[in-house]
Amino acid sequence: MVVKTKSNRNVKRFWARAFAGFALAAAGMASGAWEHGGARRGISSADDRGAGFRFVAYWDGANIPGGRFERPIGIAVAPSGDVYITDSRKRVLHLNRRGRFLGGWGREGRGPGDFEIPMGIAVAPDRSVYVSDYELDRVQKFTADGRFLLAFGKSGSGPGEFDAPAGLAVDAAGYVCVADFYNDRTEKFNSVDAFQKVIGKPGRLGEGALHYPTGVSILPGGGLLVADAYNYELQWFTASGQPRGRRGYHLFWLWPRPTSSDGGFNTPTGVAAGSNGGIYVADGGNHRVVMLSPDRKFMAAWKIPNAASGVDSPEQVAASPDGTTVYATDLAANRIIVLKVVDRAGLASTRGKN
Amino acid sequence: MNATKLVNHRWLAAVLAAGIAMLGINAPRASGQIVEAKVVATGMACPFCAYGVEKWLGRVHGVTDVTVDLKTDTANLRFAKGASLDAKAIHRAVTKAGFTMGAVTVTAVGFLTEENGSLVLTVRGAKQKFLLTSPENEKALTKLLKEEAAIQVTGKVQARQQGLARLALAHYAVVK
Repeated sequence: MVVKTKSNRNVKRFWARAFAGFALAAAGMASGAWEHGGARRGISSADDRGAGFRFVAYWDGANIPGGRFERPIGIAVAPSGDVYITDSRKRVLHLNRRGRFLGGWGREGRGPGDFEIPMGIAVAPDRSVYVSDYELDRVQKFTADGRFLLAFGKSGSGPGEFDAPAGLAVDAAGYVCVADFYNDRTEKFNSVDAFQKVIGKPGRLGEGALHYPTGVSILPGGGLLVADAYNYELQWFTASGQPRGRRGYHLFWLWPRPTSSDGGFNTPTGVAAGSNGGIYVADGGNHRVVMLSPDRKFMAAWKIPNAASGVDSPEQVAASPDGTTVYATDLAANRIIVLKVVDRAGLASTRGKN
Repeated sequence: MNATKLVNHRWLAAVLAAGIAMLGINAPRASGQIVEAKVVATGMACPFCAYGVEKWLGRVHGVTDVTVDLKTDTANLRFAKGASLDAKAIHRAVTKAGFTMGAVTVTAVGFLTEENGSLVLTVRGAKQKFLLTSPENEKALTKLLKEEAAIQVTGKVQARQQGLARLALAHYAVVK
């Protein structure tokens, strides 16, 4: 007969934790993950608010046949949880949720299916994959395994044209929204390439005015969230394109300014709305990933340790379908950052405007 | 045509091709060319902006390749054979990309000539001339002028003078 004492419960707890730690580390190593400085990062500093990030791993793409990640920039998560990434090797990479390579496609060129500067990436509910090309001013649509389907857009500033298309997102109905960087706007298309409308307008002041937007995301309610990078803010729009507020630091409540405080951002280039209502921001100039509640309050931030100076990173961010994992591209360090969302009723307890 | 004649024609073609290729190799030395330019775009930290600089500089006539180094705020440009350095177009491209252009440092191969008492690097292949400003190297350059030697120079592009782009010489070497 075994007598349950406090001490042997502690021993069991110790071995259970050790086993869990070992399993986590093994999963990380199997996926080509590695860790900065040899230590896992803890929960981000704001976990007293009920939510935070826990560092999981860095992926460097060591297991990818065509070579490790080289300046990864675009990132998206499919409904299945698979992760898609664009990098400067002119390719799209398809990984599973543990970072294991599943496939990829792309080559340099200007023909159908080719890339010059593949930038933003998004996965539609039907699993088709959209990729923007910053150099060629077009968006291409592929099947989940990389078969070219169609392309739309050309250089210009007219309806349906682009000047450096960056981040993109697909809503539940299949509409595609694209951040049109040098035209200071976003554009909406249907799934067969037909232009629908322009959302946002060039400007520095007020709601709806965009200045070099780089990222977009669809809110759970169908609205559009824009990473308005050089107005140093996020902007909310309805599905029909009406402005619905913004978040960032504004000098005298008017002039957008960069900040490293919790009240704003310094060049937020990527944004992702999680299914749990959480909003995740790639705040490149501050080298951090920020978590906001559905009602736009600062919840937590995870800062890249020893970030490369002179290069803004992370660039883009994506959330898993269940909202528990956040992935961010770290172009400066040629890697993907994987964070776990720790949510002790933090996000769920907040009321959303989305 | 019999087999022997065919072989002879092939030899002749091969010799001609080799000769043309050798002429091609010597062409840059003989006529000079713009080798590369380093363009500073101040404050470039965001990769979206860097790719924008790459995009717009890549569209400047004669530029064949652009690489951007975010850590030094610099874009490195390579040029097609025979292309000239269009400083105004480069300035327009950097401005269009959303940046203020800093120094432009060019490396070019050419011959020294003298115009109105000033030393001028003539890049015949690019149909371009640079007025060289380098008081400390004037004696050595004057000697090279007499020798009609081809030289490779690197220097910062400055405001135009006497209708020519001025180049503040930082480094030069005789091309052999």
